[in-house]
Amino acid sequence: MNAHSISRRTMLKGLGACLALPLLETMRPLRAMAGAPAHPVRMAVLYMPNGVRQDAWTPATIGKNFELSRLLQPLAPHRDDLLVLSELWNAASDTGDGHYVKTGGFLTGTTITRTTGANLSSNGVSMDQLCAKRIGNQTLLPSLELGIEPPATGVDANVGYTQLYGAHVAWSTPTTPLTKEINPKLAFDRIFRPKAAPGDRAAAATRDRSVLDLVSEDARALQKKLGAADREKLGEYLESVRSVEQRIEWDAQRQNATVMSDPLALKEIEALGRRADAYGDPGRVSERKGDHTEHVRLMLDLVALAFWTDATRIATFMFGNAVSSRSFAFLGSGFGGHHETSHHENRQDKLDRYERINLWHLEHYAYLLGKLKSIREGEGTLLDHSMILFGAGMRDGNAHNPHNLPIVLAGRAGGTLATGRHLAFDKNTPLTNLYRSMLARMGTPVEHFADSTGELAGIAG
Amino acid sequence: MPRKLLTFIMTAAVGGLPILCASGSEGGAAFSSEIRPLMEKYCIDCHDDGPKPKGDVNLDQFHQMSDLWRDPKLWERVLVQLRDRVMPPAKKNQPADAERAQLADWVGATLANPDVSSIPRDPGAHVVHRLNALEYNNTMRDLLGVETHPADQFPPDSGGGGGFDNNAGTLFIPPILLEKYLSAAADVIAAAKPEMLFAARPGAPLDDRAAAKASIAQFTTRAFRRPATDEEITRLFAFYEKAQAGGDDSEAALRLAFRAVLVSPHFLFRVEQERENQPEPYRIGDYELASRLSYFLWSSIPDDALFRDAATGKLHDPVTLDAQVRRMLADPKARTFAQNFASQWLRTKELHTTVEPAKEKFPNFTPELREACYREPVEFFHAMLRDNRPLTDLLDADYTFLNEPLARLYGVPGVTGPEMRRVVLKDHNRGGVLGMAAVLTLSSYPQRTSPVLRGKWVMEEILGTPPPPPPPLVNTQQIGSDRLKDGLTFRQRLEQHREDPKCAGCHARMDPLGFGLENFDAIGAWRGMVSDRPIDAAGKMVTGETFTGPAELKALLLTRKDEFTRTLTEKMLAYALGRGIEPCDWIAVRQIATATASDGYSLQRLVLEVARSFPFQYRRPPEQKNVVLSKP
Repeated sequence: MNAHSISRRTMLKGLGACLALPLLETMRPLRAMAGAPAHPVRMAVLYMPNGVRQDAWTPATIGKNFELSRLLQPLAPHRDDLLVLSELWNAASDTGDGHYVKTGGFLTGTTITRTTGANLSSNGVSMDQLCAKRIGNQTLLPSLELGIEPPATGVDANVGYTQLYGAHVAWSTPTTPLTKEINPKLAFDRIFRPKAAPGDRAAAATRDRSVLDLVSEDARALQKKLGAADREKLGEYLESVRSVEQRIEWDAQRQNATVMSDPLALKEIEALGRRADAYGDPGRVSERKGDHTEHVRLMLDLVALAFWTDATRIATFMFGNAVSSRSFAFLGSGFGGHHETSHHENRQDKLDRYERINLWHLEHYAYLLGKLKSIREGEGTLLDHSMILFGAGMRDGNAHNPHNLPIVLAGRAGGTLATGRHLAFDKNTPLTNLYRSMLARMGTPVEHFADSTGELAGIAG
Repeated sequence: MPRKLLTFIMTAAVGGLPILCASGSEGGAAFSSEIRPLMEKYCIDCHDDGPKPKGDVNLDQFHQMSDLWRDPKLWERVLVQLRDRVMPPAKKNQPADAERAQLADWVGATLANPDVSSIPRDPGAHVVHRLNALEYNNTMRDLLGVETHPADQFPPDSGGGGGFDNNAGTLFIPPILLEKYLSAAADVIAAAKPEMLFAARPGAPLDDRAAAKASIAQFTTRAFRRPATDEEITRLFAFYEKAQAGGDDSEAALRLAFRAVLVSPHFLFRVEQERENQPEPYRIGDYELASRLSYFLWSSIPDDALFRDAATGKLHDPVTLDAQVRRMLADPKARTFAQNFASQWLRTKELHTTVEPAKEKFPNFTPELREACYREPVEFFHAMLRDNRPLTDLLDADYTFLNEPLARLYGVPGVTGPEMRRVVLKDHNRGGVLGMAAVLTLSSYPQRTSPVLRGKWVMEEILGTPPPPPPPLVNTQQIGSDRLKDGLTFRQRLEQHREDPKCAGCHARMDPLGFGLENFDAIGAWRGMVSDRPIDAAGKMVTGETFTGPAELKALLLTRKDEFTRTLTEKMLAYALGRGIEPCDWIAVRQIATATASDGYSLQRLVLEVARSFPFQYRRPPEQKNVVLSKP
């Protein structure tokens, strides 16, 4: 691919500047090889813990030109890009405890097994991973899992669940939760900083491959000698080896493309890299140099940049883990932990603080939407070719209620969603119907998904 | 869990349950004629055999006395609930005092005199164990002399089981991690000390090939924590030759082979070979025992001394084993155990991750103070291990470890400088984990203390009796800030909330424990007043004892030291095994705790007993190969 064959310009509006930026070349050759459409649909899920202030969530009017509720105010600039979806619920999570079943099963539509560690299972594959299994081989990373808080290693003895469930929404198999990256620098490096120097990459890839060949033989031989549970662990290992092998192939191809030599793309990537480097290790409070807001922004910027460069088309992001006690003291005097505040018991002062914390999350959702909208792709924007879901596993955090969940979908998925509307479905419409609709738009339709009764009616217009 | 039950039932059905000893059979008769009828009268209505028994507790499954040994832990809880008058709940039909006493006495006597021979010996499930981040770092340090902590760049591990990050069942190996292994292996091999890599250098009498083969054999043996097989050496040697053929020099080719060793499942997992045709639990091999020991106490590979005793087959010999455990505890590497075990058991690890006191309220909670808070229980636990102190020191002690910032917080004079050192305490309120700022901070909210959270912490981590979750739709935090409201203090509002019968049962047990600690603020500093009112630190246990303030609360907890010993035993055994404690471990827990108590509650003895225990030394027989387990 050479520079003069680029016919489109990519506009990037950010930091008050307006840059004309040639489309990253990495996208063209890879996509062309995969035989995919010019602008593939991207999909991200933003998960928020601890529910919402329910009386401030639902818009008062339905349909087009709906009135934004108080909590949806930060989305005002993007109202025409939204579908606010009322009365969806996750039936499988209407049991167990207040938080873990509503998190671990948020994207699987299943009831997680109550356990403190043995025989752990979500009992389903999450919808993002169903998608990644089928189209993940078309990008550098099949999917991207990002978050803010490290998983707690404890068990919640009161309710009988390992806290692990509260730290994962993505499950590649019912027994394999996908670890999320919480360190902005490491997440950035993984995508944008190839380890080997440019001249050594081919040789490094050959060595990597030879090592992986050898260890897969080890694993297969070992698998035959072990019991069932151990065989499963080795199966996990082999699955990961295959995935890394694939990644090595992509790395090699990416290096043949000229992505890293585009000065303007480089500038954007480098700017994010500098911020990521400066942030420090978020897993250790004392080494965290930036604040919570910067942490979240870094991760969302990374999603935008990964989508834009087609490093992946599928992402999940957790604002916090279930029962997050994240301190929101930075929002003002009197603000405490997130979970503590979500138990507002209908007292005005606590409700107001809860609402403010919810708003803070929606402001960041709006931040990502704005970012995606500022990137031109073809005749539209990156947001036009995306589906960005914002949601929580419960409605009122005080009641842990999985009915009428707070769910917004933004972006037009390549023109297949008629946005700018508030839709209210029949009470207790499965949330998994929405997932089926999203999977169909990713080009990975499924016939059954958990309790789904079909695709969600009326979202295409 | 169901499989374990099945094992039990099958063992019982095939072997026939041994005849119970005299007291056992009498107890059995009493069970059918007196105990079961009482249970039917007062318990089984709610705790039935149906799909949703109350609190997930099914008491209907115990039809005869021998059934009790399916889940003795549950019966320990039954005993506590009976004794503390928590069950049956107040709104239900209450047993007469004599009936309550009869039930409790029978359960207590039965649990106190278990007929060990009637309980199937089952060492529990053992899942192949991936090295966690800490184990990976330490292993690289001891294998290669590399102190770069490569796993700090890996995504953090999850946990489960006993509440530790070394729980094998929840150590997954997702693609992102394998990616990191592949690249970290290259880095550590590059950074390794050459003498750790190349056991033999070419030169008489070894030619290039022979030297390479010797190096491969030695490195692989250490990395796999058992002698490398001929087949493994041959394959790695072929790999080495291929790399040479591709243009690498001998050293580069060897390094590549070593890199493959460090990405091999034999290295990344602690593999224990299953033995065919073993109908009974069997003792693990000495190399496997060496690994279990070294990952328990050092979170790292066995050293030469362990390896030697494993090679001669002496390691499992009780005298050798005891000597090795004591040697390992005296080694500086045991600090890892103190740190990793104590900071996860006490949850003080959260000071490094999530705990964040509100800055405007606690401006003195600096990074230095935070770190000192984190280190206090670690240094304390490590010193207890080294000095072989009684584990009751954890409940109350006249010493602790402080540096200047922490001493300032505690109001202890004469401690200057940043290094932590042993300090004798004059204030009886302070000693033991309940007086440690780390514990007091992590069990508070950012803005204020929470007697409920602190009480819950004591019940879970000290007494081993976690309260059930609040009933659905109950507002768990109706209390708000610690300011005066409607003329009521924070404590008065909390007590008002407790009058709600749905909440009363558990809060009557939780809250007093927390009230006793109210003199410590949300970062553990002493205070006499809150919101201009004097602190009321009086509490009354459901069993009737009263106390005021931390010193008296601790004295009361010391009367429950056997419960505490059992709790600590369960935690430590779970950590040592890398899995949660199951009903099949009950006998082992009991035996360990009893032996420890008989030895003056010695902490070293506790570690020793864990290492000697049946589940630590044995493996379950392999599953029948013709049975294919379906995936969940």
